[in-house]
Amino acid sequence: MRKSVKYSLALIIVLSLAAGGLILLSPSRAQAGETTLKIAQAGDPITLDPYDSWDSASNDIIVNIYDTLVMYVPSTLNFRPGLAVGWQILPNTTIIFNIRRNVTFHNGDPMTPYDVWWSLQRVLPDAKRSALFNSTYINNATANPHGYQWAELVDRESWVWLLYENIKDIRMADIGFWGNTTYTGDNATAGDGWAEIVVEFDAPFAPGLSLFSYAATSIVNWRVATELGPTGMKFAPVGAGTGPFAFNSWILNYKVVLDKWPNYWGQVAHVDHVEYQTILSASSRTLAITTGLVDLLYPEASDWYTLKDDPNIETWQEAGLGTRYIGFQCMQNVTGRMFGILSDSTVRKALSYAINYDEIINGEQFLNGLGTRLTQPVVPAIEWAYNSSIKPENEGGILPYYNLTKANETLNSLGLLDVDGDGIRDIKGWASNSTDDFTLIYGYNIGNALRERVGYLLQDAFAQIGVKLIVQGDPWDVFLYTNLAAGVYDLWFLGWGPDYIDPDTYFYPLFHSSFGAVYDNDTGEYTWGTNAAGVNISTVDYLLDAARSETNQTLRAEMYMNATNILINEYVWGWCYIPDNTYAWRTTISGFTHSPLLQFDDLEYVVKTAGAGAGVPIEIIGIVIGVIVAVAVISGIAYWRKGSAA
Amino acid sequence: MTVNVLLSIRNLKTHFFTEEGVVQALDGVDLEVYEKEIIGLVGETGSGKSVTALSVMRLIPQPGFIVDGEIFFKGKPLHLLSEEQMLRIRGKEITMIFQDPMNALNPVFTVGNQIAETILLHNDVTYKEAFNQSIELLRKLNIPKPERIVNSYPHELSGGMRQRIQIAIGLACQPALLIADEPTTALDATIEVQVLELIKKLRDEFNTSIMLITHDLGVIAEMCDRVVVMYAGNIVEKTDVKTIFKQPLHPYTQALLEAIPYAEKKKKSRLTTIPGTVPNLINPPSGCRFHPRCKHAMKVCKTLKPMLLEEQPGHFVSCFLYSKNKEAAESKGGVFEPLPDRIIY
Amino acid sequence: MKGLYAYIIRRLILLIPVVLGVMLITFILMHSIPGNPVAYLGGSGKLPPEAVEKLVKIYGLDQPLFIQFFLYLANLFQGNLGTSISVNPGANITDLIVTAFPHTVELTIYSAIIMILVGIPAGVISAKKRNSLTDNVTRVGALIGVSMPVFWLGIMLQIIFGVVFPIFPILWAGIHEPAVKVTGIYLIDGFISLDFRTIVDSIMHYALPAIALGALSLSIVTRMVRSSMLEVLGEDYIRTARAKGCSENATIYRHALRNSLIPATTVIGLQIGGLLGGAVLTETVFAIPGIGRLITDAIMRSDYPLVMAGVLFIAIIYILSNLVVDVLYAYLDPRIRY
Repeated sequence: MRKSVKYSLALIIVLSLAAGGLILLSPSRAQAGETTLKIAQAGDPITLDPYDSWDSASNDIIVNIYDTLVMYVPSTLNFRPGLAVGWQILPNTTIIFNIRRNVTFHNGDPMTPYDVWWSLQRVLPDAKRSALFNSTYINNATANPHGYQWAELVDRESWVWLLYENIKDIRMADIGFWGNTTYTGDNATAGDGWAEIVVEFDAPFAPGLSLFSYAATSIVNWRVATELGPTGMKFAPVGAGTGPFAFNSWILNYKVVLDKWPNYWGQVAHVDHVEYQTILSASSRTLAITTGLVDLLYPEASDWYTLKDDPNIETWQEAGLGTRYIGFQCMQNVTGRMFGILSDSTVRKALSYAINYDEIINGEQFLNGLGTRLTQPVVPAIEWAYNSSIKPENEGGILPYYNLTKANETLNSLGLLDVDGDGIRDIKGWASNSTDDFTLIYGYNIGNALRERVGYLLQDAFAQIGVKLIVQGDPWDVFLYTNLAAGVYDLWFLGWGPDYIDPDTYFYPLFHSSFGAVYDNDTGEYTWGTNAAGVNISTVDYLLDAARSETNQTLRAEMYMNATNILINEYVWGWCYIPDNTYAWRTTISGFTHSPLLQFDDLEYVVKTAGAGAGVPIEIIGIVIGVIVAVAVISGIAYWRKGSAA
Repeated sequence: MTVNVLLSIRNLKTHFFTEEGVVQALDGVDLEVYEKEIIGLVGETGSGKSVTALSVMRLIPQPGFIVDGEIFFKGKPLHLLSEEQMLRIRGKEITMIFQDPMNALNPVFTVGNQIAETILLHNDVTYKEAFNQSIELLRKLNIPKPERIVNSYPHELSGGMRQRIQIAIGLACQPALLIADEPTTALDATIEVQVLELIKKLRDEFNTSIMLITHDLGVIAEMCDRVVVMYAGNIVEKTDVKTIFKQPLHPYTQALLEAIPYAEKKKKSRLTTIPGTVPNLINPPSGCRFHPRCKHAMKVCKTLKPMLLEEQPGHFVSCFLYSKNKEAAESKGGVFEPLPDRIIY
Repeated sequence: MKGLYAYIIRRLILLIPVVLGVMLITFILMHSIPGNPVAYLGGSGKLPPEAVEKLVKIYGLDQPLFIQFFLYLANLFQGNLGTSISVNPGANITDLIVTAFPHTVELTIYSAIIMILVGIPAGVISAKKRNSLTDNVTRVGALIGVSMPVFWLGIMLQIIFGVVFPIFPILWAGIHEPAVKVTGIYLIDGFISLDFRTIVDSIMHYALPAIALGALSLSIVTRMVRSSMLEVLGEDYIRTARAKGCSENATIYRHALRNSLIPATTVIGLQIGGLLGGAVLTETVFAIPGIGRLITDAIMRSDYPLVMAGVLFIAIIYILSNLVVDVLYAYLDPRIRY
């Protein structure tokens, strides 16, 4: 008995020390000095090939692996030189980029103008690609031994592809230097002079420069891309980029790891690795940042105030790039619509006063404070075109605010009175096919709870001004492509996201008459247009067209502001709100630049200081587990011996 | 023949505290077992034979308790021993074998393992030695091919063989007392004889006292030195085996003997039975528990409880029909008139 | 013993028709759910019709169903599981499953360990001390375990053992990856390469998910063991054991336990199969890149080949685990012979 006790004690001590010691000596401890920035993502990336990325999770990674010709000054939307050190915008629809020298890809290859040209050609639609690209690459067995076609389909419906339709040609400027030699990737060397890439558009297109800031136009190493093919580029683009971080590994549904690229042409990253962890569960993500398992994430709206109150977490909130509005049907002659009454801007004005903007933005049932009042078509992030003097009336501006008295007065002044005394105004005489009661239909897409609640909020407010509102939910495609196009709704809730970073995207598709719904005489059906409100104001059309081809930014800004004033005075929309961009990060990291694009950009500036590690040190855990195992083994043996002896 | 008392039970009361009420399974049992004798316990189902045996083993299942009485084994008060001390007596000093050989052996262990376990529990030997001892034991019991049998599982053996294995388990430590609870009930007649022969032989070889519980008077006649007749938790008659068959005193014993079908009886005569059923022990009949079924029942039987008294030398009976109980009852004012609603058969 | 081997081989041969049946049913079910994997490829927008047509041709989705099925089987028998259509377009399905599956297996191993090491003793003690406080606590605990939703339990465990008492990491993500990946099951890899950090990290990171996942099965096993133990304790051979002089513990653990485990083994085997296929919620809450999430994604996006491959794997493992149960039966109960 004595003996076995001694043996047991010895075994416990040996096992626990062994466990602790082995952990201390294990190779992974040697890397403890390295810093890893951990980012929680709500989903896995779809692809790491910039060419066909369209989702946010992919984009957040791609922007750190690759660089584009034009980049943004951190935390703003102002352009700065990226892989192009400079550019000229010529009035005759052309942009010329000067390509940066002494840039190396992550595998050590120097970046040449050929890489730039190749990458941009790859983005173009088939028909727009140059014969050179097709002959030297697509149809060339040596250059493209596997016959990759770079699938023609993946991003064809996403906005990037549509935009590049406007491009006529992208070519290397073989001005002088390159002589008569056919310039291919094989004889291109780095630093062989200032190289230029010429981009020509079909029509004057002032916002063209911003196209070259997108992840899709990232410059990839053409040799690597050719070698890896579409699948390789998608899942493991090793050595393909020039960005501050190089691809290390991607485990599906788990994480993507990037390593610092020490030879980066710009600011070399402070952290050694970036880890994007996929954490599907929202509550788990919040717990992960509160316990320090991750450093950075997009916070959940429901957990926003929890994170805001946490002293270890810093949060950032500012108006984002999207807009949300209540559209009014401005067109009078759309068949199927109940009344032409909303074609009168004074009626629209009255209804604009009956929208409780404040409740929608701050109400707990609605945005709970995570939004900013929309005052004009464009968002404040695009500083140069934004007119910050436009404010709601109760703050000294000109914009309608929630004021039912004013709404009532306006309707009364139009002679829209409650004749039969049933509490609802009567509109006899306003339209030939009208019924008596002033009844409107509000449309939203089923499943969007916020929009549904907005509908009932409006219903209550409209009832107080003697307007009957029917709230009608439809499935998304019926809502958008059928009912909205045919003018079934008098008012509806919709949102808009920019296609490119230019005021043009906030005006042209939404307010230019050419984007309205189109009626097909043969089928008798309407085709949906982005200008669903049917805004058709010739001055606005003129201003938007002019601003598109004007290259002088100051003049453009003026044109947009003029258009803004007209649209506001016409009350074409109920200007509702801009959803806010939110970020949350642990105070252990500093230098995070909260991009207005809502992406984890510029991570090379982030510094991570080792905070006090949460949880129990691994050595202690090792010893504890060692003791538990030893005790279990000993008692097991003892029990077994007793069992067999008994 | 020396008459050393091996086991003596005094006024044993074992009750089961069920949700329906207290079942008075044993209501004052007095019994002694002498060395090297075979004592038979007879009685109908539910008369308390098995409970007596289990009380001796202190293995009464929940919710049963020994509420009163004393059990002395070799002078040791079994009713006072701790569970730990009992463990050393069970299997070594007193063992028990059970009725149904089908379920009495653990189906997942080999036979040899189960015999050796008993040896291991009570002797300081290794498992291997114990296993060899169990082979020896089987050989002693004249079981064929013991080397093969020990490696068999119970389901691979016949009923008789299993019962013999049980006996081997019971005798593994050469106990002073073997309690056999209806050991042959589940066996067919030829096997029964063999097993009974075996048990008898053991008494001679191992000097073990055997308490044989059965409801078969034939087995009693064959095997026992003395007989105890039980009825509803009471001992009604206790004497040697010859006397009980020649001169049974208690009406219940008489009725039991009449119920034995004899081959030489006329074929036409019907099977004799005891009318009525064994009483419910939660609310047992007052007085003598047999009186509702007794053809000699008197008024006193309903009011007073007869005691087990020695009417003739070595012949104990508990009935008011006989002198000693009669005297005792008369002093208490018992009325000796036939019970008007008694059963007459 | 020879009979046992023959039995195992017979069962393994039977696996083929069973798997074929599973494949056929999955195939029919998948194709009867509305949805088209190609529809998910365009992201937020719609693909132009020509592109859809082309894709449909590439994946053979325009063929009659039975031809599609036989083409799939033909590929399957050549060891080709195909490529994912919509979950991770173009990715090799074998790679996807080989990366994801070990994590689920490891999670299942831990859950099963908890289920067996806690469930069986709890059931035994509960039966042994019937109607005592311990018994009642165990029974109520088992009832709670059966009725608690997995994701809720997961979040509670995260909050209690990850935030309030920071003992365990709240997420699987961040686990230390072994330098040597032989099986992909980190615990086993850790032992193979004697990397104790991997072993410890594996235990720590799987602790909470395993508890969350195993709670239901644990409760079921506890109840099962308790009731079968009570039944066995009433058997004659338990009385025999006591009459031999076996102590209470020896009676219960030596004589009753093995007998009461015979019915419990069935339940344990079925539960292990269920754990393997039912870990989706746990994997989501604890961010484990396992097979459950992969298959759920695949079903959501109508990724036919991926669903088929995932179901195939789970079916095979399920059948194998039941085979193990049957073999265990023969060991536990000598009355059963194959």
